[in-house]
Amino acid sequence: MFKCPYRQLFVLLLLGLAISWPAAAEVDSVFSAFRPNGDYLFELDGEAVSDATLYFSDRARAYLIVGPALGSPLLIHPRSGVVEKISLMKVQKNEDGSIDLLADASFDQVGKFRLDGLSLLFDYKGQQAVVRPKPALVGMQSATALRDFKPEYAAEADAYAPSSAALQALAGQGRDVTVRVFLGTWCPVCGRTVPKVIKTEEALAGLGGSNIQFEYYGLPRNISEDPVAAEMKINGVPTVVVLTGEREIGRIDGRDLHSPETALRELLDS
Amino acid sequence: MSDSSPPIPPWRHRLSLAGSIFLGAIFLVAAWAKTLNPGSLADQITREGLDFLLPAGVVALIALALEYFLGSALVLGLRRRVVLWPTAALVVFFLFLTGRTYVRSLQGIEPEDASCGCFGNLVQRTPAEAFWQDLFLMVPALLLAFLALRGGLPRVRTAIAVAVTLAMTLLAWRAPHLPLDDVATSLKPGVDIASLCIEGSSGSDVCLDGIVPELSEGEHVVVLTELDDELIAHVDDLNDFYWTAEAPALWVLTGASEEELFQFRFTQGPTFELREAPKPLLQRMWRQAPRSFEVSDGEVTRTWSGLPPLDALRSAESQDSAAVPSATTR
Repeated sequence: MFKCPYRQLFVLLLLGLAISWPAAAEVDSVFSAFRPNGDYLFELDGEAVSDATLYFSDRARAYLIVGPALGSPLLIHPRSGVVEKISLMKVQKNEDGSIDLLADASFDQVGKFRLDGLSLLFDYKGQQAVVRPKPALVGMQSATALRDFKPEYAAEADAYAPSSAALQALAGQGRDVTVRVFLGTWCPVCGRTVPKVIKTEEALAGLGGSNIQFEYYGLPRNISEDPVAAEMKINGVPTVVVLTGEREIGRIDGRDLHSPETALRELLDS
Repeated sequence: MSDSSPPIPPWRHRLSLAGSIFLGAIFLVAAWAKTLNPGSLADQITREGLDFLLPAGVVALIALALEYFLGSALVLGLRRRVVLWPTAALVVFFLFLTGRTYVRSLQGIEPEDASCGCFGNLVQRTPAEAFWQDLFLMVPALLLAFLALRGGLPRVRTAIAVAVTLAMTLLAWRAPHLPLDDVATSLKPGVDIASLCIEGSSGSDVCLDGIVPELSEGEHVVVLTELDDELIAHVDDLNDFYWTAEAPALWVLTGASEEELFQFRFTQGPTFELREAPKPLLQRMWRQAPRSFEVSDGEVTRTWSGLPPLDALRSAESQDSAAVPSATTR
């Protein structure tokens, strides 16, 4: 099949245009507020489409897949099982990373999806399209890797404002401390709390650094399968293990991670 | 039969009677712990593969009847062969079950249910606790009971044991339909959500406030459910409730597998917060799914069998927010 070498560039240009288009156009009242969802990945003919991003809208109760390789964004309706495509020009990306469809967007049915185990499958342009859960990010990770892996983490981290008093206290404390965060990228509580730890780390770096080093360790769904988790007796995620050298001085679990900088400060002060 | 035997000294009678009453009391307590929630016992019977002849529900009722009859007979001092030999068989059977679970746990094969042994979901024991407690409580008492076997079956005491058995089995049969959830489970008004826990695989507790830390502050409604037809029929109602600004925050907890959750999300499109919870923890909180409860600042304030009265909750909150301008916002 003929493949235009500039096709992807052209689609990227269109996507850029769509994103930067003035927000004067009227937004669809239902198909709006699509937020990035890093729980799933998208494949075409068995190959992961790395630049495709999945979004979900509570209002529309639908998923949207956007990416240069697709051309037209695809809309997945869970209740009806219908997959539709929309003109890229009718997609508006907002500053907060969310996406709205414009009121005059037209929907062309691509087909119906079917479910098979942990896969949602449909035919798209003669290829087999699959949406499936992303495998968990396991092992030692950086904050950047977590941000890239889960767009929700990035959004939550950016939205969080740590307590400046707690940050100042943490920045000024003299001990060399390691904060090892055990998390599951599949875990909803981690989605609410780990971004706050990431933001705390970034905020401390912004204050000129501290003696606190942050580490992130991703665990599989079956936590007990992981030897490090077993060795550290990690029973659930998120669990933050605080160490000085190799000596554990305390733990913080999801219950106290609504304000990680405060919980960490209290632990180090105690 | 016993006429030709040498007379039994009084101390043996007393020890035998004490052992009999102690063992009978254990049986009665164990049976009572399961009476109000026979469904959980039926689940355990299914997991142990003991429903090969009869449905698990019937086996559960038979097991309860047997425990009640033997328990009440022993408490009433009926130390007869017809009572003690079945009792011995039952003790050996319980030890086999708890011992097998204990060995499996030592081998790293986790029990599917945190409730171990014969005390239902109200009494939480680790596999080791279940085995050693059963061994050291029941076996000595059984041996003591055998010290002074008696002949004949006194009519009145036998009739009392039969009457207790029939009454309690009838109660167990009807219990799932009676409004006894607050009595039969650990979830009831006044309970701190941090106390709703099971023991995790590494020995530390897995508690409800670790699964939904948000419950510790503010007003919430929690639904414990399977991803079944009843939930599917109410997905729209729950979605609407979740997005009602004045309503308490809604959480739906399920013990479903990852695949079941995936299929549910892509066929029903729930927009409410759906979280996974370990089944043994849910079993501590329900007799039948769904069950719901209201939480205020980490304390259970109300419970409902089935789904919560969403319309009533919504209208109550609307009235409150009309009276007090600072409405809850999501």
